[in-house]
Amino acid sequence: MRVFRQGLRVLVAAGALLVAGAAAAAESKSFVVNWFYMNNYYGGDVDCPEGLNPSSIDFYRREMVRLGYPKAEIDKILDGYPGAGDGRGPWVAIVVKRGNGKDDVYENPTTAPDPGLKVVQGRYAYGFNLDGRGAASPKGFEDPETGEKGVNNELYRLVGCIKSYRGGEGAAKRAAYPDYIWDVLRDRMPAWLVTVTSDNWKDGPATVTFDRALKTVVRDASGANVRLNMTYAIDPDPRGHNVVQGTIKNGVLTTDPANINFIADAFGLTPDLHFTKARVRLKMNADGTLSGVLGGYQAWAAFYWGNAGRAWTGEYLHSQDAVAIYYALKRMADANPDPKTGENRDISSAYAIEAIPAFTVSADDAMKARTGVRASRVP
Amino acid sequence: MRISVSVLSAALLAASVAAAAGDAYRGPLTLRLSTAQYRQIIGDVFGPTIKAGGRFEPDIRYKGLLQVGAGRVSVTASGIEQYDASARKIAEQVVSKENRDTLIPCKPQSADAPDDACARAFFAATGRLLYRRPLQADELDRRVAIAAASTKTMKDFYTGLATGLSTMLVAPNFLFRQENAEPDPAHPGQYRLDVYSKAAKLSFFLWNAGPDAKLLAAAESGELNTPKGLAKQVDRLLASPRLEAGVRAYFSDMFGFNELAYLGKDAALYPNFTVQVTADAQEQTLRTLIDLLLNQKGDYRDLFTVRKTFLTPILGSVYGVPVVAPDGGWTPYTYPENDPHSGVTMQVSFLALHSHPGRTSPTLRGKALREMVLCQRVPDPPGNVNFTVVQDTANPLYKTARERLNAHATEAMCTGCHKITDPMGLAMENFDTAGSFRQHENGVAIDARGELDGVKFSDGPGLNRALHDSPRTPACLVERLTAYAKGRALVPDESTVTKGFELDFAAAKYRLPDLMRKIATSDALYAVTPPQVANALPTEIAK
Repeated sequence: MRVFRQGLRVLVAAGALLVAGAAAAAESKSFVVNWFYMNNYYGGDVDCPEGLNPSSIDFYRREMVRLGYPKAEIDKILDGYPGAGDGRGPWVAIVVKRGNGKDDVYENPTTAPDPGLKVVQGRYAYGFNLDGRGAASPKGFEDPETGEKGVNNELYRLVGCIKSYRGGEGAAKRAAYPDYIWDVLRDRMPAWLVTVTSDNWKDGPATVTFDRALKTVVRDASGANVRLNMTYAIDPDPRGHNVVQGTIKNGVLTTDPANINFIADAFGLTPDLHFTKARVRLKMNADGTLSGVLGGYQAWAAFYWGNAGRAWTGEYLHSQDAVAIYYALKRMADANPDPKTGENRDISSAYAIEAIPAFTVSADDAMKARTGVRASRVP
Repeated sequence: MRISVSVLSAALLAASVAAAAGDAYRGPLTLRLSTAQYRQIIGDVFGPTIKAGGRFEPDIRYKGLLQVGAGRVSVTASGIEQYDASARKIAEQVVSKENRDTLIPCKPQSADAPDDACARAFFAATGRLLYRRPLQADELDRRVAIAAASTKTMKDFYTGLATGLSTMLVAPNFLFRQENAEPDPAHPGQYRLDVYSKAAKLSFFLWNAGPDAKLLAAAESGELNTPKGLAKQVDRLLASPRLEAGVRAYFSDMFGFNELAYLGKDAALYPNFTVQVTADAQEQTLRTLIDLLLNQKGDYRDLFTVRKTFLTPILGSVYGVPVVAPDGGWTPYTYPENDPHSGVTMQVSFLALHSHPGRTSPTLRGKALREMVLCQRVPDPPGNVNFTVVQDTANPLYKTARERLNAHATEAMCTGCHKITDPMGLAMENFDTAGSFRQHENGVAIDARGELDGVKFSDGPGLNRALHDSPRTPACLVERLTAYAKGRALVPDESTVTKGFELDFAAAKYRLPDLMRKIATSDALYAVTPPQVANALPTEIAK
């Protein structure tokens, strides 16, 4: 009869770090991130009492009116919109230079005036009380799952009334755009790994380690999810290695504030995803998978470039008005003021994490399997 | 093409004679090449750059082996079309500008006119390997004439050569292993295979391929008809790395791996089971047994308890073990002592193949062990059985397969067969239908107790030990491997021969190459009795 368990093997295979303070009977369980997306709460119409932001054809029409195009010409320009999406539509050149008529508006958003953005005005949002002010926080939400007051998630407030960022209920919880971005991204970038070291998930201290793998995820037969129990070698690059301390209480692991960095890919996300004062809340599901929330502050400029880097394609496909988002980010950023200007440079946010059991091994073991020589011995 | 089809019809008639004679038939055989054998021969004759694609008609399994079924299959009209399409593509590649200087032993006098001498040299050399014997004069003349006629029409020597070659590749002399008999001078009144049929039998048995040049030379010189010459060639073939292909072919046949091509699981229930798992699972078992039986020269019985195997990361995800392999490839892996994964019948290739898409089947697994490993026949279920209880895995009254089968087996008509199969299959219940380990089914702890012919055990490793220790396990291999080598089912009075092989196998500590040598050098492999109906057949077939 098999008496060993996956976690114990992982501990041996990966040489996983046991941090002082964790329980003596600690074992490590590793997971690979299956889904990672903006955790946008859906509360129905009350979230966006002013309605949703316009679709791309509508805000392009609005901008052309502002630029002085006659209605008949606008109709002609947008006839058959969006067309083949190959950049040859007559509207493309206009919207790209809709600021001053000569500069790329995505690189120079201030060349265009702020068109305004409808934002979330509801009560609930996922995340954490990042600023420590709790219920006294003037912009604080209430977390619908934990009931925590003073949740800081201005990024959700900002994007939550944009159609492509709008979450849904139940199985439709993942909003269309974050879902699409992650679905593309995870096949292109090395996998993200999570290792939890605890006393078999009993209440008490726990350590959470985030790493990047050397290879991408492998999908299962469903095509939607990552394969269970695959083995990943950990990238020794310290930029993707994070160790955070936490506590398990009533089966829920919550980490202390810390900086957490992920190395991503320049497609819809910034190449490096840095969270400051970040906290993580994780729970082990009955099927052995892990799910939870990561909340933290991130540089709003990086978020802007993650989207605006895709220029008009991101705009027209996902109805994201880059200029409106730029001004809103500047306006709604809520942390890390610039010492010279006083303007906040970071914005609070929350992301959902869904992870599947996996095995992790060190890069040394992977190198040895490949060449017979450990990486540490390669000159 | 009319010529080929008419000759093919004659070959099929010969095959039908063998089939009609039933299991008592022990005359010369006509065996259709398997797809693997076809491709292997093309590769051997023309080299690896010549691609032989396409799918041919499915083989049929008879008495537990496709190789035995190969003597009972014909070729349909659509099958001929497939062979013809493949033949044309192969011939086109052989005469192509890239390959002609390497594969054609001469250059024509003129590129747009017939050159019978050059064509004859090519067909004689190539035909000897394709037909597994020298071409007779009329056969050679016919190919040269076809090539010349085509060259005149197309005004291209190489096109003409390709036409001649493609007709050879659809000829029954190539597509079928046609055995011929001759009087046995050592045993007056008895018959044996002629020396070329003997060479082919030997080569297909040990290499799953046609005879190479050395073996044909040994046949041509008559060396193969002497005990010493035969032993020398058998030892040469056994010492060759190509023996691995032969062993792989045998065990692929024995374990029914051709069925893996059609295997699928319910993706909603078993998302980890993909096409890649199926491919890797077959390769895992073959690598395991090649390592044990050839590389380690181990005991065949240890195949059912062996802990060392080879895994890919994909298979590791099914077995739930970490696998670090270069570029997702293969790496050795040794399970701990008494691990339930030990033994090839506890691998995905067996567990998943003998299960349903959404649930296990102790009955199918037990039946497969009885038939494949122990050579015991399990009757098919009667046509009017009610399987409702067994199939309903959501029935709250019967949460485990054992409970469902117990309820089902209360029907008297079912009890007998289930007593044969289920006690073995239930010991494999710790593996779900995809081959992953589990301890519970529907929340209930799995009871994996079982029994094999009076030997009781408490779990899968116990079943493995019982299979290892069963005298039927090596005896079955001897019987089945002998039938595989012969290409036909054994008849009852041949048990004296296999009993002798069994004793030798035991004396050789159950090492497979020793058993293969014993079979390959035995007179019994080559002894034949011409069918009584032979005289009624056209001369061409009887010969």
